[in-house]
Amino acid sequence: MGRVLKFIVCLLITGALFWVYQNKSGEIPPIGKFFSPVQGFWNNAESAKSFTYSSSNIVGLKQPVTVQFDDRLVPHIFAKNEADLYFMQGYITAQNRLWQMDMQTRVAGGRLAEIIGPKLLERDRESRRLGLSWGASRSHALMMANPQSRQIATSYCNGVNAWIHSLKPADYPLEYKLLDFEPESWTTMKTALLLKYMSNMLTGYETDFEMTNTAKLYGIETLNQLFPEFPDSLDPVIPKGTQFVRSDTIQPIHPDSIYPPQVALLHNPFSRPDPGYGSNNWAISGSRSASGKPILCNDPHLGLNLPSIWYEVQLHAPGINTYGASIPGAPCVISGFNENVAWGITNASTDVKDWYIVTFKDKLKLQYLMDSTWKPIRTLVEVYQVKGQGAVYDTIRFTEHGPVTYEETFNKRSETVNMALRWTAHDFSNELVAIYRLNKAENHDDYLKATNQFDCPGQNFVFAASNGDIAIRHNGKFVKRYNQQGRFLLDGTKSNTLWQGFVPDADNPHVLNPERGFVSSANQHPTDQSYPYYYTGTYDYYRNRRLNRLLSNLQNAKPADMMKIQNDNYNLCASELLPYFFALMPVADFTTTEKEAARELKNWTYVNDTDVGAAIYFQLWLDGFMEKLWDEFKVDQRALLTPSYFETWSYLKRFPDSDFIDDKSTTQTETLPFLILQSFRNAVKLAENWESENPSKPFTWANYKNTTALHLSQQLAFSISNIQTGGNEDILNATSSRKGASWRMIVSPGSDGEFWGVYPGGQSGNPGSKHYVDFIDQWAKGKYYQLLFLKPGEKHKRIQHVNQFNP
Amino acid sequence: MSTNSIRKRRAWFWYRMLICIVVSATIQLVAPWWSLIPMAMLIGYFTAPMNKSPFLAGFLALFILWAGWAFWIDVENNSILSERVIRLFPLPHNALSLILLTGFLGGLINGMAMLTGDIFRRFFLPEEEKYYR
Repeated sequence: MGRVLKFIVCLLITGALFWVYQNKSGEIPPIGKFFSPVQGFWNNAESAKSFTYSSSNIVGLKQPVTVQFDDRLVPHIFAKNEADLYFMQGYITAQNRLWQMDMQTRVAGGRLAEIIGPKLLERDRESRRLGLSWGASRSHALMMANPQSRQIATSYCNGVNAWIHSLKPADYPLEYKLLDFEPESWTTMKTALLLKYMSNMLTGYETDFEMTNTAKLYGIETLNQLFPEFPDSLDPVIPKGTQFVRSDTIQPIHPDSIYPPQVALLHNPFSRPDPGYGSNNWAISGSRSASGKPILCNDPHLGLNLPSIWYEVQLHAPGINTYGASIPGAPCVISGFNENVAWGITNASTDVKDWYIVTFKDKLKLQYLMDSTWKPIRTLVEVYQVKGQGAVYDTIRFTEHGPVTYEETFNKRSETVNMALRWTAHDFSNELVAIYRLNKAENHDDYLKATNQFDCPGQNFVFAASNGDIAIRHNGKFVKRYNQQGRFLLDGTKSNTLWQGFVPDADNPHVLNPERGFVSSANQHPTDQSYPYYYTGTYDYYRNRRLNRLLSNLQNAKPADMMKIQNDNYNLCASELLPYFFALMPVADFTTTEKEAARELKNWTYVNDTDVGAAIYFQLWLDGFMEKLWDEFKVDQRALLTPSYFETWSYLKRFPDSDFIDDKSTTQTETLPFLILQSFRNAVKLAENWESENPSKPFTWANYKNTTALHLSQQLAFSISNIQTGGNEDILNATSSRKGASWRMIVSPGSDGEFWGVYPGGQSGNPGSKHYVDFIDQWAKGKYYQLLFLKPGEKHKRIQHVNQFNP
Repeated sequence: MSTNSIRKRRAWFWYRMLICIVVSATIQLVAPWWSLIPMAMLIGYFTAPMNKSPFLAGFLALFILWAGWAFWIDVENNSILSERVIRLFPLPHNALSLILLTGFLGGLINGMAMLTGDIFRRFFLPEEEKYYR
């Protein structure tokens, strides 16, 4: 009997082990599959040695394609026709970034719960309620209706699938093994979704709830004092004094009240992309450069992710030869150059996303009120295949505005308000064809025609050509607004609050070869107040002023000077605020540490370099001060927004006795000097705390900031923390703890041009590759790589691996 | 028991382990990882009639196979991957811990499988051999 029992126990233990080894439980991957050196993660370890020449056959190609990989694993794709070119771009991109492409489209399409489980269901519902996949399906229809974009997207898609279908489970990227799911076939719809992912990242931020709540709490007059629409010392994208022509003579009609409808203070349950997703770009004309040729620079500031958001590529086929940063999952080059021209992008930051308060007839929500009539609701049932739970359904209702995103069925809010979303990201648009034409542009005219097609996300497109032209254009599909439209929540029961059209492309702010010899943008206002259309947005007030100051002093500039500007750590905010703080700070009985901190701050040259300690004191001081000053803006989780650093400073200069200065939680009346002193002392204390919590780390700005390139799975194991780099938000080197220059490019276009670039990551998305994060050190140090812009057939010594693909 | 038969028994421990390494390595190249389980059970059933430590033989076989395999990959890879993956686990953050962990996990299930096969065989042994302990 003992033997049988022993056998059964052994068998059960082996069986139980098998189950654990084969299935994912919680965060733990299936142990057997994961650790098996043959099929598990070990198989993702790439040889640290170099590649050699190889050749293979791929079904789907029309003619042979040569792909040369350089020492940085940048593919230089030489095809004999465009279909093969985008096919190979898809194939090679998937080879390096498949999991990332998959995940990002799952984020946009609200399909994370399928692979992760119920804990991500609310996030998926949010994506779909925001209408990202609905918008993608509309744009996808347009993309497939245009023969150019259809060919590009389809070829790219076929290339991605050729790679996916060549994989055995053992070859899947590591993350699939860790999360235990399988790649699925790529579709052109996924490319459309990915473009919406970018649209959301760049136009998803708006402040309608916050402005409405602030107006309700403190009135319109105070709101305008706190958040002036055109503050002093504006340095817009299009130089002040430029004459604007308005070709559209029909003015938008104002409703009776342009101010927000009366509602209770509202929550905003939606996560929004960071407003700090900004960027810099500029071009200097030959009059300012040493070579006499224009130089164009671009550094888009996005989340610092791994795998990196960008993938470098050179695309060559008859009629096209372009190089630059592409987005894995989308064909073409987004920020780059060709033989004749270069272009770069910064976010337009202009608001194209409005909320309309709608009134349903009854609880059935089948009709909504519009100008005293009840109109029918259209419904869409979204299905979520939740892992381990089965299908979950969510009904999304649509009014003529768009999806009723804000509804009590979402996120358990207490309000009974329903709000529909009107957003240009939902509209039919074909950005792919715009980018494609930009890739092939030969001159300024081509650039204008190409960017005309680019609707959302609106961008400041900077341009430079080898013939000497430089230009910038604040471009996108912008709403023809009446005064104040879109700054607040809108009354969705009135047809006169609807959008009344769009700014004609020709009227989008644009300048070609301005007298000052440079064009630039850093997410600031596109224009001064003389621009004949009303617009609203969230704009930068520091980087642009610093940038224009540096550019206007440039003479005989070389790429190296441009590198210095992209890595400039000068803290303009500190240079303005710190003297003001010290002037107002009362004399007190300071401790030794406080005296030492004050001395360090007074000696500080306002540069947020890696090894500077004073920058920590300043940041803590400023943030503490802001918190005390704007305590009125913390009301029971209601959506409220404190003025930015710049808005705060300009407000305090005008209203030094403002009632906001008083801390309402105390009985005494606080003054500005008191707040400054209090927050200074607190900052010194916090700095001391940081030092005692981090005994092994020197007290430096870089250590305090802890810049981290985070893996998309949020796994720290595959992330790089404490990157030693300076800068911060509102500084040209806009590298904060989780965001920063996601791609730095400096280009002087032309056949004898100069091309430099770097990004915080590496070409491979595989944590087991030596090319996973190989650029990060160089990037952190503000150094660049010379980009290889190869001619067909050119044999360069930096080419390490030539791959020949045959049909 | 004679000295000779003790020596034989010890030798069988190593034979069985070697057989397991060879069979398991071969089968895993073509079949999923779990093919090692039936293989270990079969080896446990068919070999080593007098072996006292079937678990240890199975454990060592897969420990050597997986850890060795992992070590070879790790050298080729300059530990780029292992030094990242090990950070997923509450173990010392170096390549060696991950290699040893890989070997241990492979050994654990293989040892249990071989033990199971070994016990199963004993159902069919004559009475005296069942009680050799």
